[in-house]
Formats: sequence, C-alpha cells, structure tokens
Amino acid sequence: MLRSTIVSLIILLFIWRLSQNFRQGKLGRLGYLLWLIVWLGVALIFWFPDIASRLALAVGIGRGADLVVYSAIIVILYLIYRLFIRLEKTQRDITAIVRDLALHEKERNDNRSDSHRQL
Amino acid sequence: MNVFVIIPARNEAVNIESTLKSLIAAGWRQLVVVDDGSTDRTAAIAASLAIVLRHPLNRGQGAALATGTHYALSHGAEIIVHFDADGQQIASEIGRMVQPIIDGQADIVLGSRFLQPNDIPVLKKWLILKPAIAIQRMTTGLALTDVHNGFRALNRKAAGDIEIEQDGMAHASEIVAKIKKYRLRYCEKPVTVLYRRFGQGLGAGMKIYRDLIFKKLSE
Repeated sequence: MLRSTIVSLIILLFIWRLSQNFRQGKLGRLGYLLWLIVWLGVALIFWFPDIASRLALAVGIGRGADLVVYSAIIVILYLIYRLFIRLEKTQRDITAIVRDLALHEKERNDNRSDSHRQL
Repeated sequence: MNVFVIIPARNEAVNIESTLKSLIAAGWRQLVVVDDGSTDRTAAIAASLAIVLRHPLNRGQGAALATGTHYALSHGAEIIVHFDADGQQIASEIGRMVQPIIDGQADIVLGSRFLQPNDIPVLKKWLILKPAIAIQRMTTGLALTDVHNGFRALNRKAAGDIEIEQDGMAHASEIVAKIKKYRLRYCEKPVTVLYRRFGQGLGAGMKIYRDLIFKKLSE
C-alpha cells in the first residue's frame, strides 16, 4: 500500500510540474498533451495492470510488461529524435549569430578607420 | 574581373603569412581571411596582408566559407575563389581555375588532384579518396574526378545559389550536390596539392558522411 501511495504521489508531482510548465508557457500545447497522456497512461497501468495485459494480447505481444517496455522504447526514440532536431536548429542559429558578429565587427572597424581618415 | 580569394583559417599562425604572401605575389589583391575562432595569432598576422573576418567561436570550415562568401558578394565580387590557409595549394594555379569563368564557359570550377601526375599518399588515394569519389558519383550523378578538394572558383551566380549550410567538412559534398540541384555549369581543372602532412584521415571521412546523413534526417 505504501509503495502504491509513493508511486501515485510521484506521478501526481510530475503531472503538477507539467501543468505548471504549460501554464508558464515553457511547454507547447502538443508537448503538454503528449506528456499528460504518457503519465496518465503510466498511472493507469500501475493501478490496473490488467489493462496492459489485455492491450498486449490485442496487439500480439505476450505479456503486459513487454508492451510497457516496447512503448517506452518508442517514446524514448521519438524524444531523442526531437532533441536531435532541436540541437541541429540551435547549431544553425549559433552559426548565424557568429556570422553576423563577424560581418558587423568588420563593418564597424571599417567605419571607424574611415572617420579617422576624414579627420 | 573582381576576384575575391576566401581563406578559412583556424590556428594557422604558422602558415598564414606565407600563404597570403604567395597569393599577393601571384597578383591577387582581394584576400578575405575568415578566422574561425583561432586561439593563436592568426588574425593579427593576417590583418596587415588581408581583410580579416573573425568568428568569435569555431564554427567549421563550411561556416567560414559561407561568411567569407557573404562578405565578398556584398562587396562586389564577380569571382570567388576558395583557398586553403595551410599552404597545401599553389597560388599561381588560381589563374587557370578562374579562366573558364572569365571565358563564360562555367559557373563553378573545381580543382582536381587526379587530372595531372600527383604524389597523393598511396593509402589515402585507394583507401579514402577513390571510394569517396565512387560514392559521390553514385549519390550525385556528377562524374567528377576528385572529392573534397578545397580549391574552387565560383562566379556570382554559383556563389549566390550555393548557400553553404554544412558548417563542417561536409560542405564540399554539399557544394557538389547543389551544382546538380541548381544545374550550374561546372568543369574541373588540375591542381597540385602539397602533402606536407597527412590531412584528413578515414575518421574525418566518416564524420563527413555522418554530417550528411544527419542533415537529411533533420530536413
């Protein structure tokens, strides 16, 4: 009983943090819904393990626990993919900033030496 | 014709002065050194001989070339030449690289190490370059005789069309792919590469393919 209570509390804490992030605008609607489904799913399967078994049988996997592991791997792969896309975009943005800095610095120096020449 | 030579340089304090002097001796005046986050005196040494653009962070050779191209195009360049800072290429060969563009026969000229007798290390030639050339031929359909040769000349059209998005070394493959994409007129000219040290090994080659695949995935 104690174990169930602790796990439930942890899941509740995650969902609470999640909605907080969503309300503060740190998380998009889609991300919020996806994570909400993930954690509600975890809670559901924790309280009613039968659901996982029945779902597993329905999609042709022997045990409920296996289904949970397989789904977790798919979710993790998807998250890594998202992360990778973000990283690529961040890299591109950094290059764009560095390029702008290089070109602006040059322009500034040119203007400065021009005004010196006029003096 | 207004020719800009773009020289990406990272920590080339040892070589940059002789490279720039050889370019000046060959008659080229518009030299743009893109200092790609060097931690040595590369920029300071280059400043008296060339226009210097400084990347405050290291972003890779592709990114440096793109920065230099940006600058050259906005300062009226009609021809842009890519040239290595490390002294592996020969400044007097720029003349024959830009000739097909001056004659209006090509939009982009690529240097090739294989069009003339060469002293490419045997292992590098057969283990790295030849397989890479074959892969390039399969993936782009362009029958080029060399791969990842940093010596190129582009006219305004080619330089404008080929916006280098690959920050690292994969930009060379990207350029070949974009020649095909934008149907640019291209040709190859023989160039000499001096092998004073072993350049990019097999590991660097693998990194290039990784970059290309990641780029495809993120599109």
